[in-house]
Amino acid sequence: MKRTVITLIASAMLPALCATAQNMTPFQSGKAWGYKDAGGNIIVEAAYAAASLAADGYGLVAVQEGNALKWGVVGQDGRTVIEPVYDYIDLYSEGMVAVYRGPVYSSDEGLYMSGGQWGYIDLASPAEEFKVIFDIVGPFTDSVAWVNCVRTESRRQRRTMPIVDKKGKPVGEEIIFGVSASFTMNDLYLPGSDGSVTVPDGAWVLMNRKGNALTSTDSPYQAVGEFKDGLAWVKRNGRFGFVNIHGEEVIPVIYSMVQDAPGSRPGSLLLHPESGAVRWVVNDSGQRAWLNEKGETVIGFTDFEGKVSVFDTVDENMWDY
Amino acid sequence: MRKILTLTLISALVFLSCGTAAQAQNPDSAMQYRRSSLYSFMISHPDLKMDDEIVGAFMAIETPDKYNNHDLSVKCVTAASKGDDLTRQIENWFERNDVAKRLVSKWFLRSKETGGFDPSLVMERGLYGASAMDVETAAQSKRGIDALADKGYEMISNTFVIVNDITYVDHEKNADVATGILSIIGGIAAAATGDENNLVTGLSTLGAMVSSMIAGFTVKTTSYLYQLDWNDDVANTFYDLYYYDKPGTDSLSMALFAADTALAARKAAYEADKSTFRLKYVGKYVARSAKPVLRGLYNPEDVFRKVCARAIDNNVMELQKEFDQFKVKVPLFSTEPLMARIGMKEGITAKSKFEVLVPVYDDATGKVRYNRRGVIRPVAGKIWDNRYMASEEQAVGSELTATTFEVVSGMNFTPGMLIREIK
Repeated sequence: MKRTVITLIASAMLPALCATAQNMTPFQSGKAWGYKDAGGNIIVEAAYAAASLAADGYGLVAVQEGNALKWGVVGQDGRTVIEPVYDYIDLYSEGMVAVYRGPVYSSDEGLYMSGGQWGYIDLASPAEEFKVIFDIVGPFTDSVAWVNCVRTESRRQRRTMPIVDKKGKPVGEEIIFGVSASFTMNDLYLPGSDGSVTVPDGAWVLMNRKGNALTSTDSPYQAVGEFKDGLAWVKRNGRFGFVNIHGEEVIPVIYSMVQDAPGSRPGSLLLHPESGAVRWVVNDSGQRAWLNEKGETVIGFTDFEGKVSVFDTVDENMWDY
Repeated sequence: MRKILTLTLISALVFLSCGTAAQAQNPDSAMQYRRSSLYSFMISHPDLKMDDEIVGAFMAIETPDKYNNHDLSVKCVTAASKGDDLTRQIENWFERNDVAKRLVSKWFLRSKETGGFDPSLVMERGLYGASAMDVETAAQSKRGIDALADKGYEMISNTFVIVNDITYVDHEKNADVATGILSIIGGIAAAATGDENNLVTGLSTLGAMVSSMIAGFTVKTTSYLYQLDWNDDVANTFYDLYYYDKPGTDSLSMALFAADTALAARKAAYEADKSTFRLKYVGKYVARSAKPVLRGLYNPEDVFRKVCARAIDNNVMELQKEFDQFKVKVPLFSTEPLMARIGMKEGITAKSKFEVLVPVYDDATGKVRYNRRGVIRPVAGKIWDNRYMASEEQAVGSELTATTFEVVSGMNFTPGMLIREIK
């Protein structure tokens, strides 16, 4: 019986998962899904082909349309916030969701989107849909998001978590709707069969909630990272630097490697706000320096590779006190 | 006169530590209490598997909230050896790098350029500035420190260093996914099937490559605990021989400072001192992390961070149980019912017991001591699960914001009184 139920779960293409516990729980009636509140009262009738766990009072739901699923959003008050007309919806963050119109493909690695167009909808004013013009988009953080404005060969993955039984056998999957704290831009892309993720170069621009570009559209970045403590690494013409949430290149895009960029390795130093250093950078000679949020040097370029041995006497400059 | 001053100081301390009834209305103010200070760093082993992942996870972990962050800039030290007791190597590293002295420098926000000190961190962490004391005399100067009841003695002596030697446990040698040891519940599966007994498990990660390496990620952590040796002799040496206020940043102040040979001599003497400031070994604890509950985790970094954070929290908790000086004292923020923001992360179980303490300034020693006002214990079923990412895991008790207690003995408890676990 259990196996039957599990199989049903798998066949129903199960739902999404979100970052926090909710007073809005999916339930199944027959093959259809809806939501109940903590008291077991139905708040959304079981009328959908799939439903996610809720994020901040919102749930992702899908209806069957031919062989495809069309996705929308419902609220914990039972209302339909976004009609289920999109081919995919994802990246719930700061009240914004990313919406997709276009083909959805299936491969051995999972479902992915490619060749369509992405946009955003603010759940507080869902009627004001952004123009769906982007090849791929990131989540909103501190009211800004990265958008890729050129066509690439990107294979934007439907981010899922497999459900396995106790023997490790996949029996279903959950679609990730919300964005976790440790989200990385790599999470957007479909991993290859060996588990590696190839992030194709694009033309990335930082955008605010109103759709205004905060970085130059004439010289966009070929690759970007997620924001941490107000800074994100960026790459242009093979060089790295950092921008802040206002789109300012506070650490110029001139370095061969920078902290947090793909290929960088964690070091021994965690410099605190007291020291002023916020990121390290590497020059063409392989030397490393620590810079403050204005791009000014806190610790000048040194051959120190970033790792302190237990047998070392650490350079005085490396200490904040 | 001295008695009047003493009484003033006592009342100031009681005011600071016990709070007022008004604090019950404002839990945040009741949470302002003196914490111990902690510098934590890790030993990594670049020659072992998953070392970069562990270092990355450790670097993202914040200082436990029951302690003040007293981190220095070096947060990770590598060692080639593994499995050995690293006490000697760690202590040699402390000595070679003047770590104890740097911790003192941080307490007084020492300027590396001028060598001058600033007591504002002592004032801030000691909550002196908010007290009934004469704020004017407690201004940011040496005179301010002198005016404090114990010159910050208690707080500075409660400065600890915890060194976490974290290594990946190669689970491929152990049972993992294939043998079904995962303790994960697929949230939606449980919701759909009523499977409350983990018959269906959900594996969090990114696609088919989800690997048992991530799902079964566990670490072995050896935590070495040290305490700053801040006794009367050290404190007197520091205040008498080395302390001077930071000069102003205007040109006149800097010129006067540059011409002051006495201050230059103090600066040089402090920098040359290799013997006054020490760290004393307290003890260590070794544990292997529990199998990760993966519900609510979306990518490998989440898994690494959760496992490492919980491993460290667990060792901190065990060290607290073992060594009294490392135990945290947390204020009651409510008395009807008795509640405090302490929970499973600090090792609370239904069998735990806590003493309720009132800090009293001891005129004879010039230091603060704690008098027991009573004993309380947690109410079963009302223990807060405040472990790292417990709410994402939807763990029982994670929906609470504090633990509720009941009285074993004593009475007249007030918000702001401190509680400390007893054996």
